[in-house]
Amino acid sequence: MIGHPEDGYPATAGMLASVAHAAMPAPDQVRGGTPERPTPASEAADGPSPGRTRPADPDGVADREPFGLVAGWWPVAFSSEVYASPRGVRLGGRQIVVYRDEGRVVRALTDRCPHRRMPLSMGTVTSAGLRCGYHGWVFDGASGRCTVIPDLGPETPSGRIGVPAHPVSEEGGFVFVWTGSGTPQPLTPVLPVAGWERVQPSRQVVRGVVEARAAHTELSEALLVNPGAALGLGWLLGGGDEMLGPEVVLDAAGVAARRCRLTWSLPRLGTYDPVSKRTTVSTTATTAATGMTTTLAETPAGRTVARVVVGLTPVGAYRTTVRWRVETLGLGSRLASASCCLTVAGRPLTGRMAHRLETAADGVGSGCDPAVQGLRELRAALVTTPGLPASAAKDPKEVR
Amino acid sequence: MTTTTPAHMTTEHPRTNTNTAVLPESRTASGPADFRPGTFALRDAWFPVVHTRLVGRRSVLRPIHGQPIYLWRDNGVLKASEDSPKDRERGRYRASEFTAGTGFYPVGERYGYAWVWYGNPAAASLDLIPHLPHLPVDKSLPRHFLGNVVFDCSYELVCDNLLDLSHADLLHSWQQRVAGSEIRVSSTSETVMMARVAGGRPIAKARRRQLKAERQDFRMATLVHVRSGVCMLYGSYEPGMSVRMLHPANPESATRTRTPVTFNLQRLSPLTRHLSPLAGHLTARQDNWALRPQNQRYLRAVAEDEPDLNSPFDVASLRYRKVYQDLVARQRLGDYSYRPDGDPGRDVTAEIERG
Repeated sequence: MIGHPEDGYPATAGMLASVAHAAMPAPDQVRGGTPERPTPASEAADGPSPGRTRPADPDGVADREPFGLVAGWWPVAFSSEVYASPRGVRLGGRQIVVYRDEGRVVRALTDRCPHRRMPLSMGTVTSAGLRCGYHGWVFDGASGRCTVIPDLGPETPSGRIGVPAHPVSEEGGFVFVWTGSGTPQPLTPVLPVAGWERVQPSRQVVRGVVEARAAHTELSEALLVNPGAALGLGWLLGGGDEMLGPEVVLDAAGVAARRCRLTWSLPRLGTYDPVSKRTTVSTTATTAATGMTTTLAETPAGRTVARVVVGLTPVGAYRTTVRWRVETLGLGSRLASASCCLTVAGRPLTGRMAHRLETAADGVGSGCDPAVQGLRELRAALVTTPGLPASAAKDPKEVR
Repeated sequence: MTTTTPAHMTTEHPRTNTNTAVLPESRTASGPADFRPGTFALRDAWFPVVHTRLVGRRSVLRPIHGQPIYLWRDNGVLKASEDSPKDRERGRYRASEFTAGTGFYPVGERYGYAWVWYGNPAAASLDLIPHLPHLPVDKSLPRHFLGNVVFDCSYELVCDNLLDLSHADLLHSWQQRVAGSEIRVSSTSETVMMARVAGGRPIAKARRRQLKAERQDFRMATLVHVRSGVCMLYGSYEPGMSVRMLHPANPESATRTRTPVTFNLQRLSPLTRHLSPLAGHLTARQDNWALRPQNQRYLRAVAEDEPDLNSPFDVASLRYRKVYQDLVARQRLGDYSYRPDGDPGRDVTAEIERG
């Protein structure tokens, strides 16, 4: 849902077309005055060149992929984490500030005041926009333009003054930011899996945030292979050995895999059969561009018991913020939800929160899972031909 | 102190007239695009590193641009060396170019401060110590007038902040508002001065009975020695108090600036004179809240970064950046001398009192 904090799940591409996006001012537009040429020692003898400005950038090359990430809708926070007070978050190579304006719409701006480089996340939200905490310059959340410079009198700030504003989407309890340049593509940030539409939103929701020392690509592969083991929710999603071969479905946007696993990953005595033979069937779908992962877990009788959505926010070359959200469904949902809470609370007692995720990410490279191979191919195609998901709506291809 | 021209001062490019800008006439502002605070150490300057009251037999460490400076008294004589006395007893002798291989910096006592020369010792002349009117030359003020504030940023940003008026309304909202003031900015090759004058300002209700007036005139002059970061503030309220303040910004590192401040408060009750200097830490804390993240942004800056935008209220700040950049450019080429208009020791009494 765009601009609403409710956790609504039915996500379609059509709904995303009305994203509250804003034109991002080009770099040469947000500069005021006539900056002098830098004067390094080699050029000092020539003297400054007053009035000289940087050459225009008609192709917007400087603005291409400003985050250093593949163009896509990347999760930056839970909806419940974004309030009227601004929050600074890192996404790829850029620091951004997200906040809710007075109309409860989530806005995202580059977290840097163009005046004196103060983080705008240290400012306050006013009716006119986001106000910098140092000198009080106010920026409109939708366009990024500067609307107020205190004490300027009757003059209004030049329309060229502003900060880049990033398109924002709010869906399924997550806040997404578009990282490409230009108009965002109407893609679904959360890839639905088979049976998704049948499941009604649950009120039993548990959320968790973990910062893992691993690349987001490896984490997304680990989550695609065994989300239960990676998140420590094996009892809910199945975390043991695979009993059957995976059913893998590839399309342009991502990859989905249906697996039947032993529920418990217990140590085995020699070559004896595992003590517990209980199995859990889960279907996991991963978006190729962002690694956004969704999982539906079923009982052996085919009843859906949990829906898990995991968002990966790259905050460094080898550091990722993992946000997971579990909805438990059906008769035992309250009990399962309480168990999830206990899992979250007890995790720090048994080691680092991110230990399981990092272990899973480290181990994924040695496997030869067909779903992971498909995900890697899709990702490589995205890097070489940006914008593939919009143009290449191929028929899903099944790989056994 | 007279304005004689020492022998080491250059005479080329004399600038007899100071550049003066008056805010209402200059509505646009553009500044140096490549302002990189914390990346270049300006040298050949006297730094007021510590209050002489605080220097005894035990050494005190006060770095300048990361260079260690230990100060102590040896039979009452002030010493400044690159190694502490204990290290020297153990046989450790650092000897950099800043001490010409002796291990001891040129040092002087004036205005209640220990002044240390950071640069070529051969160029050290006591005449280059900035002239500070309103502070006694040969003694220190009482202890309650002295303070010691540490900012988590480079000293360029501290100076920039002092010359920046528009942040005060938001960050120090209890202070006088900027709007309506007449602001004049002037500069030499070494200093930037900003004077702010406002007449007939309403007095806060709580103070009206005490001052027996409803309105007051206000004048504040800020003089910044760009090379050394020595900042002088002279504020006067008529009727009301007068603040004469020395606000050094000693560059200990790119992320740390020490300010051994001296307040000289006049026309106040004895109790208020004792307590008012304590408010310095409240103001400094508010400034540091902004300066700390700002400094990281400037230190991490890359060539592709957008240059800062400016408003008409940034005239003084831009003038400071211009003078700073000029100094950096000159020192990069090996010119560490002072030009005739930039003599730090010139008498500035009339300049700052006149505003």
